[in-house]
Amino acid sequence: MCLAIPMRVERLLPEGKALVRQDELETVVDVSLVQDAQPGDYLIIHAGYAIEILDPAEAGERLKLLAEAGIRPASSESL
Amino acid sequence: LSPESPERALAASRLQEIRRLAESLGREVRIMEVCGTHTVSIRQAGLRSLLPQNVRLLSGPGCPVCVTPAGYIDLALSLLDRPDLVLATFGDMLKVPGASGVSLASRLGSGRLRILYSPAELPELARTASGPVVFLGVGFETTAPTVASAFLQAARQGIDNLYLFAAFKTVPPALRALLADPESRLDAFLLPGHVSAILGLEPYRFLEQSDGRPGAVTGFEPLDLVEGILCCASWQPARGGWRTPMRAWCAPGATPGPGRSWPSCWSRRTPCGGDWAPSRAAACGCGSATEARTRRCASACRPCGTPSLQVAVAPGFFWDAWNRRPVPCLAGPAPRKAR
Repeated sequence: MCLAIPMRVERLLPEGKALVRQDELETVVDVSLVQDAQPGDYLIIHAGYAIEILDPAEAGERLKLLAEAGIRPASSESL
Repeated sequence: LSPESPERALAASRLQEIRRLAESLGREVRIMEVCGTHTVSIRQAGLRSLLPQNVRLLSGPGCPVCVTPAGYIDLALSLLDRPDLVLATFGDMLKVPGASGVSLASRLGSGRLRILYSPAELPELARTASGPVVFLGVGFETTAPTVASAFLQAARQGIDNLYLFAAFKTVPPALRALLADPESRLDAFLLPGHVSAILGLEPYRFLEQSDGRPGAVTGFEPLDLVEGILCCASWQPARGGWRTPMRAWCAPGATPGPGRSWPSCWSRRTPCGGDWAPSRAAACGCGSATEARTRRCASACRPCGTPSLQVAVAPGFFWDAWNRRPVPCLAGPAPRKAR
């Protein structure tokens, strides 16, 4: 129940839903709790609902760490 | 982490730093990882074996499912005495025993116990059911708004047979209780990132205000956890106690949820007595409520003190679990609406 899984928006669906993907897993989740999720965004999914949009700009610490480790994300795919 | 992974090298240098700090502290440092998902990640990455002997990771304080009171399970089971009622629950509630040792799993196969992955399934389940559907609302701050959202959606669709038996928990009171317990002797907390996606950091500021114990909000990758432990271990009382919690990628940090990602009826929560006891916030299935009605009702029915276990047993009424009688919702019965 407590899992929080990052998944990427493939496309938006009617009624506040979106098709999301993580590797081989594709599923429909509710995105009504977050504002303006767009295709390509990474969402934190909990119990079938997106509870947060991962903004690369907000993930500063993580990106800094990756840079320190010599990993330079070329795109949001690397997040 | 794979041997060739650059993250592994980074983790190794961070661990080296933790060892150096631990040595300079010269005493045992007790850090509690609050979330079970952290516990799993720590175990899978073998982190405990990599830490110096005087840095101890303690698992706790328990997930909202496993601390569910036996009385709650008993009442949920007794609801099934009503022959047309369907209970809906997350699967991890099945094995929690009631006072007599009987769990919900004993009712599998009855056709009246539905296991959900997501509260989003509730409106459709209720729409196709012939009788009342009661959802067992158990979870932390992460789960509560998803349930509220499903109930608001059901209300918008005019569904009038969906009820919530709420026993949600909140994290900060559990931490307060642990700090107040002299035997736990905790130095710091690793805090779950996804809870902060809803809560932000403010509810944890009391850690700073009381006697300056650090909390690090971290994600769930091994490197996130190592960073969190380093953040905790590098805290020294002489330096003033609180070090700004790190913001891992899973923990968006200081500008989060309330008001933005919470449905409006959940956005104001009234703290009340009874730490680690059931639910600060309860939405309710007040029959065919309109959204405004649901909001008003959720606000009026929010349990502050006793009775703290509440289930809506009919439009406008809750079941008072402690006194075993129905009590009217303060907002009054909602008007019935034709399907």
